[in-house]
Amino acid sequence: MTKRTIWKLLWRHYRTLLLSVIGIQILVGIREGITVLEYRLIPRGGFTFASVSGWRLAAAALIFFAVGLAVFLMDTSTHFNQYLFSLPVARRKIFRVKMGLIAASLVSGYLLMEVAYGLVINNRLAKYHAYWDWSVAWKLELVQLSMLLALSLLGMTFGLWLGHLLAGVIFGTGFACSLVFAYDALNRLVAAALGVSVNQARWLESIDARYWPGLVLAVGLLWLVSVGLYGLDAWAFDHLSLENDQEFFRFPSLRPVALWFSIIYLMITISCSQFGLGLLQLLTNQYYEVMPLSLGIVMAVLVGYGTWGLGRWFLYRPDHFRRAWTMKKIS
Amino acid sequence: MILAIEQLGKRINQRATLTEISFTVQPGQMVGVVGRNGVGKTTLFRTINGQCLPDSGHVLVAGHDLQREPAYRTQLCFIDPLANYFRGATIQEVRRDYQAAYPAFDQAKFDQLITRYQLVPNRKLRHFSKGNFNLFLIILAVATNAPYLFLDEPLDGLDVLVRKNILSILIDEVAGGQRAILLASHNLAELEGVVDRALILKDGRLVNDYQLETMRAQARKVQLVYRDKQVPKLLNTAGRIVHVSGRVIIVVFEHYTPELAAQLAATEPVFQEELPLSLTDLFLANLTDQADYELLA
Repeated sequence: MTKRTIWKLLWRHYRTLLLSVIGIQILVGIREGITVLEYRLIPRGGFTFASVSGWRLAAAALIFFAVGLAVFLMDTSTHFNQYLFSLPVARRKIFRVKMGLIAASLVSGYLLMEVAYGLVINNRLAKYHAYWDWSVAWKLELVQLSMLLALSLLGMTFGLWLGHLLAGVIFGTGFACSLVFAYDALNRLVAAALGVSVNQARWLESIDARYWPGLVLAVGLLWLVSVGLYGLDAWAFDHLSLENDQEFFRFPSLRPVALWFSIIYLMITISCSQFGLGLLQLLTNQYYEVMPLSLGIVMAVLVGYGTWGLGRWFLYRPDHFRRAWTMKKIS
Repeated sequence: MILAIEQLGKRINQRATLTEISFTVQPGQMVGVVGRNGVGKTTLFRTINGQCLPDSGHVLVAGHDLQREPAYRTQLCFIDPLANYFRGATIQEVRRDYQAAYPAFDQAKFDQLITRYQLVPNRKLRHFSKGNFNLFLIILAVATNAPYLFLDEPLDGLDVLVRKNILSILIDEVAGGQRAILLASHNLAELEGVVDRALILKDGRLVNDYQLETMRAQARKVQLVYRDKQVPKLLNTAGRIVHVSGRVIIVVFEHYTPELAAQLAATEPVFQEELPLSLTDLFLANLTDQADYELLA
């Protein structure tokens, strides 16, 4: 079975979703272009696509993540994998073609959105004494696109590793949103470990992708994340056994890893971030700067225990809610 | 081109669903896969066809391991009646997908059968009745021209006439000597006279592999009546009791020899009669366990 045949086959299956998504992105591009003209948001001088990108970026982020999540979750719930796995071709090859198709559609949609946006405002730039600054524009576009692809891969990871439709959506979205707090928590931990201020620890924000070193670093980091997620998903697709389709977590042998990752991740993200500290501040009516360390430790333990119980309930025995909260072995 | 299943093992929810299953099938055979509910018949089909991954063992087609050489999957066709994406698709869409997967797909045969059974090609399969849906699955499987077809409860929900037609299609396919069909079914009466071999699964293991012709020549089903309700030991050691009603006992002896006949006569039954042996009797003889026996008794 050739790559072309698989491509055609998958295109036929996903085309409604992918074409809709491309269409939506083009409409968002046109809409933002019109808004920019309506509110005269074009400054004098060099203008890049990223100069005004609020709606486009938000829509693209949502679409990239949702498509990544939906494609794999849908295949589980509609049993399309049953067909894919009986094809006379290695799973790895199907996965590569599938990822290629999704990435190509998402990138095309994104580029068309930018083109639509550019076309809408292009004729009016001269009126505002502005011009396209291509030297910077492509660098920023590359970073944005890399970030969006990483986000899409994150969605795919949740779509592939979780078997439950609703759980996949809730946990995937929750995790994506929590990344902001995880980053904040990590900065705080690094700052505490190195004895520097939190602002000094926020080195990621100081990367300026308009210049070559910043561009290489930003794109390199994002591609590193993407390659990691791709590897994780490729392994999952290779090792999917469809009797686990209806399970919350589709790889029973890796349940302990998932449980302990969730416990550590949530303990750090909630207890060490602005979110957790703000929550603690609200509960204790104290400023977190003067809060005793023991309070933070109590919170971390509570979060850890909560994740332990809920994790065991979801991952192992949805029918044994009470037992999940004990220290007894569960299987 | 032989299909060989070697030491296939599969655990689901930490329970051994399939344990060391080994058998071979050759084109020209109609094989019944028989077992009680939940014994692993569907899992066996799914594992052989790559939808479930085995924990151990191999599936070989003409000596080629399917996991390493998936190109040989075109030799196998299993369309899961429970888990498929067809509900939202039309016959034509599904046909296109299977045509892409099976290079030897016989469109003429497919169209002919679709027309013959008056299935509407542009109608979504979710609008089909259960019987028509199952009928479509069989037509699709037959049209793939894969030498090994796996059919899970294929006659479920079909009316008598369609069932008869379908069976004749399947028998024709096998009679050509180029294809083998493995049928998993609870309805043993339907398999009777159709399959020439029965694989009996119990607790995830293949407990018996009967060539039915040989079996019919060797085995006997005997109805015995004794003076009292005491069951002679011989019936349990040499045979398998399939039915007890008062003093009437029906026993299946898989290896009925003149010596055994003499031993049986020595137990002094007041009445003894040979009954026709059916696949159901073999099923009962192999799969009735102690609890069932107590119920029978």
